[in-house]
Amino acid sequence: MGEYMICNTIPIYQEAPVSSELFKRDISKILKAISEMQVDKKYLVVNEWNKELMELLEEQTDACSNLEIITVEAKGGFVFGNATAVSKLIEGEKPIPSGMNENIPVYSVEELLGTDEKVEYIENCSGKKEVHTFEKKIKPRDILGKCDFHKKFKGMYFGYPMGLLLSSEQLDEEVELLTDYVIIFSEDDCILDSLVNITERYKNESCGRCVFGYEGTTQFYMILSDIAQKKGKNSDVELLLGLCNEMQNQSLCDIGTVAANTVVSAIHNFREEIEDHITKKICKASVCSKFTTYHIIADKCTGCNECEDTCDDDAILGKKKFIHVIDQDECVQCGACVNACDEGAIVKAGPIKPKGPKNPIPCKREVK
Amino acid sequence: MKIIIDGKEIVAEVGTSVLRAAIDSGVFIPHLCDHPDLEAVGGCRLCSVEVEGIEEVVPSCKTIVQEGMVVKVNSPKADKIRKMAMELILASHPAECTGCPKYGKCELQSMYQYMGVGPERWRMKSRTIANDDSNPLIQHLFTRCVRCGRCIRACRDLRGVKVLDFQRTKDGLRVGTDNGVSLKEAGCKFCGACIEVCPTGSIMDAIGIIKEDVSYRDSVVPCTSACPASIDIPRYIRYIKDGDFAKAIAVVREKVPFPKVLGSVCSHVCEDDCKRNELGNPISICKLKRAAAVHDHGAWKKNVKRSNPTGKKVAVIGGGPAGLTAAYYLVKKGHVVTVIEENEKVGGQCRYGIPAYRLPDELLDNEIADILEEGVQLITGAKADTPKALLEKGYDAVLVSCGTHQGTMLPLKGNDLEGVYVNTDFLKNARLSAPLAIGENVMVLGGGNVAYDCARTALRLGAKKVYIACLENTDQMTATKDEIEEGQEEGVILHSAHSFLRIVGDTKVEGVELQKVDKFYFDENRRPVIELSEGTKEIILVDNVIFAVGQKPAGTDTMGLELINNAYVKTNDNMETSMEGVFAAGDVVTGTKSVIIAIEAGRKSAEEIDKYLGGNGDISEQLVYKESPNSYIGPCPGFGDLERSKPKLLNSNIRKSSFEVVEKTFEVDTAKCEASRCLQCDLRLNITKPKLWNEY
Ligand code: SF4
Ligand code: SF4
Ligand code: SF4
Ligand code: SF4
Ligand code: SF4
Ligand code: SF4
Repeated sequence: MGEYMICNTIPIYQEAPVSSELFKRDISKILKAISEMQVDKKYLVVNEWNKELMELLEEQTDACSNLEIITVEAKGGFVFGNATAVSKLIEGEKPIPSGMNENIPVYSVEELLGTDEKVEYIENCSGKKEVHTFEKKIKPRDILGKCDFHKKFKGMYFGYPMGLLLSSEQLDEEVELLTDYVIIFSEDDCILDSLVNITERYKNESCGRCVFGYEGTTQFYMILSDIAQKKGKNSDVELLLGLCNEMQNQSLCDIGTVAANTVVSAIHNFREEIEDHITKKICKASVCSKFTTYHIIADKCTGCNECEDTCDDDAILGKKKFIHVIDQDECVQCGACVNACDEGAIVKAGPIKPKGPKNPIPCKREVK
Repeated sequence: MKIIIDGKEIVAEVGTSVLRAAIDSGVFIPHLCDHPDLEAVGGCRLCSVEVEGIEEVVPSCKTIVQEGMVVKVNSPKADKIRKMAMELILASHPAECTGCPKYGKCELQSMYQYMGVGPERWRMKSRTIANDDSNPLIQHLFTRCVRCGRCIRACRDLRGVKVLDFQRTKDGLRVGTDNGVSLKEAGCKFCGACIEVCPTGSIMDAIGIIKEDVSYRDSVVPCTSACPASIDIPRYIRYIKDGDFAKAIAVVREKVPFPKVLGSVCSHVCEDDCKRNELGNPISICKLKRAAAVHDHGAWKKNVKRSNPTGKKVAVIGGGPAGLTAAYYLVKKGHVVTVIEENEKVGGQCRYGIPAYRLPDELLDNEIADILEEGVQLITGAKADTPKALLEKGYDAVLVSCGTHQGTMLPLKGNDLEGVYVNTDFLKNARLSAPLAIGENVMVLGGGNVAYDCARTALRLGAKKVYIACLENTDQMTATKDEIEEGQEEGVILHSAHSFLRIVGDTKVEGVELQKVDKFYFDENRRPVIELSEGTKEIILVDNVIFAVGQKPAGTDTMGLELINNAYVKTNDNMETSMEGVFAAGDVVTGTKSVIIAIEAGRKSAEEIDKYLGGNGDISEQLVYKESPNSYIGPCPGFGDLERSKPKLLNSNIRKSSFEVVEKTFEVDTAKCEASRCLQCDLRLNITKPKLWNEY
């Protein structure tokens, strides 16, 4: 084969489809950029379900004349950020990485547009999504400033291929935006819980072909889940760091490396919060269900007895006109009772527990 | 090029990896995803090493040797990574090896024992996948898969079939077919390459394929191992697939001098063991042999191995397939061989026992001519002297191979009536164009192929109604399904599961009294037990009765040799009889068997006689250069369902009235197509077997 180039429009994150959206927006510009490239063979990778994009391409027959279109089923995936993986597509093979991104002529839509800007999908803990365009080199504080975020800031996660989890201390250290996807965490979020989700994603995105990448991310997920489930061991943090250290050098492709970078930066910046789950058995943000407890505020309980039946584990003690009490030995922290109480008397507690009677006592307040 | 590994200088070829260079010169580096025949991937990192001048530890499988490179395998840094990699692999692997079908042959097991590591400091959880034994020939036990990808590379890169790949599922990554379809649907060619390269017990031959009591090779290529003469079946079938019939026939001829005869009448036990049976029907191995043989122009002759004259003389009594085969190989070993045949022509049962519509004279003559061409001398129409007399006359060795030419008659009332014949006389006279007289209605007694030979010959000689009666029911009969079917098409009336009580008649046969059999079996002393059904006696009126219940040697009682059952010549393992210098082979020893068994006995006796005469006993030859076959077999959608080709048959009305050959030879294209169904079971034997560490 002579020289070739591939333009990939499949986004890394399906939920942050920067490449496909930009391609639609600037289709003629991009096709022009492709047509100006001096190579024998040109390929365009698109998602086969993206009707809108397909129709747009059909209109551009001229510009597409010597362009081979490769359709794939995937709507996104980390492997589409790896050039060795994308280059497999032209042989009709699956996009499975065989190494790092070295000198393979695979271009992202943004690269072809050649801008200094970066489109970013930003999510915060309440699940709110925003799309902004930033300078490529930027301080995290400026990102925060542009976002509709009003809680107390805790951390910022830069997704693949950056793999960074920053704390408030690094808000003024400039970063180069390479990822399409950022999550902002507030004091309501538990970093450990978030890290469990992040590593699960890496485990699922890993191609499975190398031991350190696949088994490494699997161990990340299993160890971190254990910690979040109150099954952490004192040696776990060091075990993770040791694993990260080897993964950074021994993963076959950058997915394993970036996963390791993420865990390293999370441990570096939030070590205490994570370790508290193991040593003090607390979840500072009251997110990890195994560390939270449920309580009935004596002053608010009217003794209506509505809650008792909602508890499948018979952990709620009491009868009509008595202040109800949750037996902490029986409670499995499912939270089902919280909504059953119209008085808002049942609350979730983190490290600080509300005071109340040990056993049901007659109620001072009247049933309304 | 020289490199240094752990202080030891080794020579490496330009372009090889450090791992290969080390392994090839006997230095062991652990590895799992690397395989000598597959492209390196660098996934498992068990082969990690330190290289002077490179900061980080590198996988040796992906590191190409350079002049003077200094490599450290036993460095703490590399060791740490290697061990961690193995621990991680084991953490998601079933904890116990006991009970695993790969136990003791597993590369993973061998490797972790060598490294002495366990997964205990990690979270341990195996990824359970249900075992799948729904595919023919191959079982998938993917819970044990370590995702090394060797099977995938073998299927894609080595074979080009591309049915296996990595598959993403909600439970993680696994090996499988796209969309999880069966191997057959995916277009698998059942070549077994994936089985061969899998280092663990994840892809295995289906239960029962690998047999403990035979060699691995014989288990893997069951057709060749079933063939009495061990013809290299996949090799000749491959040539037929490629349309190279000359080479195909040379391969067959490396083992037998009668390809056409075998292609017409072989009992083809190889087909019973063909692995294609698991996918439906076997390869038409026998008929393909004939298809190739009709294109035999003798190109193999230039490679025939001939030894210098030895001055020794051998007499062969009986020119059937065993005797002629022995004579052929003995002549080539430099001995002077004379075949003494009682009949007018040589050929034995092939000429006088098998009807012409199955094996015509021209075809037989043709192959015998090739044998005579080597210099075998022939005395026909003469009764041979006794072996002793022959030795005294100056022969250095004698081979008794006079077959079984005397038909047996059952002690049945009326068996002395006029019009009662035995199979051997009946068939032989028909072959000599001096048939025994028959009337309109004929009954053949017996349930084997010979009974059909007699019945179908009787039809051709003008009988109007021909019956076959036998004790066995249709499933127990030894006649092949094809024979029974073709006989039925021609109008043979079958009374299976019937006992013959007596032959009715005064001086001449008038009929046979039959009675239905309820049960027919052999008791614990292997004596036959027949239970008859009451009230089912009937007499069928016929003019002739032909016994087809067996045959035995004629004239062995006067040979002065030790016999078994007063007829069969007794031999030891080296085919020697009780008389020094006298050997025996073929039906006269074993009782009536198949042509191919007789040919193999002929070969074996030639080896033994040659050794007896001072030779090395080596009659093997290579008649065509042994090419390494193309292993990139490529895809073929629907391969698993390809139907077995059937030869065209002469119309049953025409064939009833003539001795013309019933079965047509495959056309060239049909033969190529049929040959392309072969799974090429031998290909996987060419895959390099990685050595386990304890073999270094
Ligand atoms: S539902 Fe609320 S108010 Fe009613 S008994 Fe339960 S805790 Fe008390
Ligand atoms: S949290 Fe669940 S288990 Fe605990 S008291 Fe409420 S309903 Fe019962
Ligand atoms: S595949 Fe190998 S290591 Fe795994 S259980 Fe079987 S024998 Fe043991
Ligand atoms: S084609 Fe061969 S290598 Fe591929 S799956 Fe089938 S048997 Fe295995
Ligand atoms: S099935 Fe065997 S060869 Fe294939 S990936 Fe798994 S362990 Fe490797
Ligand atoms: S498929 Fe071919 S190689 Fe395999 S057993 Fe049958 S004939 Fe022999």
